[in-house]
Amino acid sequence: MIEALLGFAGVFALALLRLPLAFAMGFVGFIGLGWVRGWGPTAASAAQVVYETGFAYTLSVVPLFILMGNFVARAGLAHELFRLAYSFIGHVRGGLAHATILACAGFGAICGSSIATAATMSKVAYPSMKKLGYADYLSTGVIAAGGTLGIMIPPSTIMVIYGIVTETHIGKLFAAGVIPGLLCAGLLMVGVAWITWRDPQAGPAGERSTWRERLVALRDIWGVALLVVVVLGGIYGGIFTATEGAGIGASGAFFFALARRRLTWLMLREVLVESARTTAMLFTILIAAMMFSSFVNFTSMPDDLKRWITTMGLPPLAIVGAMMVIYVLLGTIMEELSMVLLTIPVFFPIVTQLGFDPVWFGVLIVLVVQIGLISPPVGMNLFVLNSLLKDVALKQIFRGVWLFVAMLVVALAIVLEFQPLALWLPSFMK
Amino acid sequence: MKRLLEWLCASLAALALFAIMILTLIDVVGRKLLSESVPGSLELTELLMVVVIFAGLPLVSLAGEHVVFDSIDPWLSRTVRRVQGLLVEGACAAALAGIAWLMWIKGSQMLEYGETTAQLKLLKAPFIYGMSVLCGVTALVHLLLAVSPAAHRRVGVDEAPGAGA
Repeated sequence: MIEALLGFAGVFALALLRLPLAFAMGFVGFIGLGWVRGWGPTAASAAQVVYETGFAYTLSVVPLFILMGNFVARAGLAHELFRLAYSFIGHVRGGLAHATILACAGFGAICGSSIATAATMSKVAYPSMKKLGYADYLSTGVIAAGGTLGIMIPPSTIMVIYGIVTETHIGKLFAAGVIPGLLCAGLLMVGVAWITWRDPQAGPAGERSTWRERLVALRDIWGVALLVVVVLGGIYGGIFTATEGAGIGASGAFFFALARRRLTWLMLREVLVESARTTAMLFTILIAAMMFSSFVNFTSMPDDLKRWITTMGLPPLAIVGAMMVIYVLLGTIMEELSMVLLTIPVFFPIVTQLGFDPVWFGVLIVLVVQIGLISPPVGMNLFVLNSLLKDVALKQIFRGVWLFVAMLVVALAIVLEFQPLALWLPSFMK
Repeated sequence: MKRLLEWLCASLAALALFAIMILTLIDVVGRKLLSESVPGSLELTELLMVVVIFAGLPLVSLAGEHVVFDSIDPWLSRTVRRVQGLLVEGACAAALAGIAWLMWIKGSQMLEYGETTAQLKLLKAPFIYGMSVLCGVTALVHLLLAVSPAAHRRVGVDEAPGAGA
């Protein structure tokens, strides 16, 4: 127990000294494991972890889904999605903000990254909102929060990584994200309605579109809609694995971008290199987290905690609730992926021991990551918007996002209490 | 030299990733529609994944895209940050050099046993050596950053990031 606690303290200390988190986890994992097991076996197991993580067919799902999202982002699809959503809902008060959330949800069905969704939407939705006189705090808040739908609505990089480290079925995780994703979108729209009810000046209504315009807007996205149906439908239906689906998705998005003449050689290279870089960055964290967790698993901490919690006799749901509180608080200051990978070796065995479904816990994890990504002072989505929208002060972005943080916390509480919201859809899968 | 390295790694990673994509497409379509798969496609994907990850690694380090906790930066003086940078980059370089060394040993072992992939009988050792070399290159990148921190760009959020979360 003591060794593991020292290990956690070490990771935090090194991270505070500005060592990249992956290296901090790797260092502590290596030294800790060397301490409890001896250096010879530790060196061999480190080499084995690096080797096995590199040579892993199933892990190719990660770069392929990243690639799919990046291709579609470059193909300019976000514009069409936004126009479609606007044509249906733009004429109500705060209509552009509502449309942003719906477009984010649609974009999330192709893109598995919250940051990429927010970044893409900021280029599309922010100028339109600015033109119509929307308050900056509303428009940035809604883009930051809407962006997080990218990781709840499948595909989702976070779900893939959670599935890999906990050996949970990725297809089931994807299916489980659909209803909570729509719930989040709905609650965020309630947030927009609340803001524009209190402050009508913040989000004036736009013009009503004709049915003809709506149909034209629909026609523009059918290609990608088809791709989503094939990829996700194929995975849900058990026609192909998540890895195969990701390959089909990435290829489809590539041909889609090609057909729209949005792809030059230079851009193709850029998309590929960017996706490879993101992959390498994620795998560094992944490898380090595996070293760290093999250390934690070798200490008595997971067992001690399990025993301690059983003797405490708390209701199981309260324990998971307490974990969520820890996550939400940690998420305000920590980078979310590292937070999850760091805590999984301790929390996950407890959750399964209490008899909860790993798929449901995965959805909760995604929700706390969503919340962490937009909760000040350290929220990646907020920083991305701050660097992309130079004339909006970070203070405005912080001010606008609080209500949406609260709405996502409500979503977290709902999914915590009503497990079928996550587990109903996956129950149809084999 | 730095430019050449960047270009080489980027090209390698890009080609490998594109190959994985096309390979998976052909394999799945072949298997589902023509009930004929590409022989050894799983192994090829694995080998290509190694290329994507480890050729991408020097690029990530060069671009300073590793996740760091930088919230307290504004409160530190320039001298402190300079020293801090030196230590951090040095530590990263040491860690990567260590991994490069471990992988080199592993590669030699595999060469000795003549370990190959199951279906296509490709020797695995060259790829392990490749991992080792690229980790070594990344260690050099960190040494370079320790000496000239100007090469370090801020976390790549200002250029259409596709980052993990």
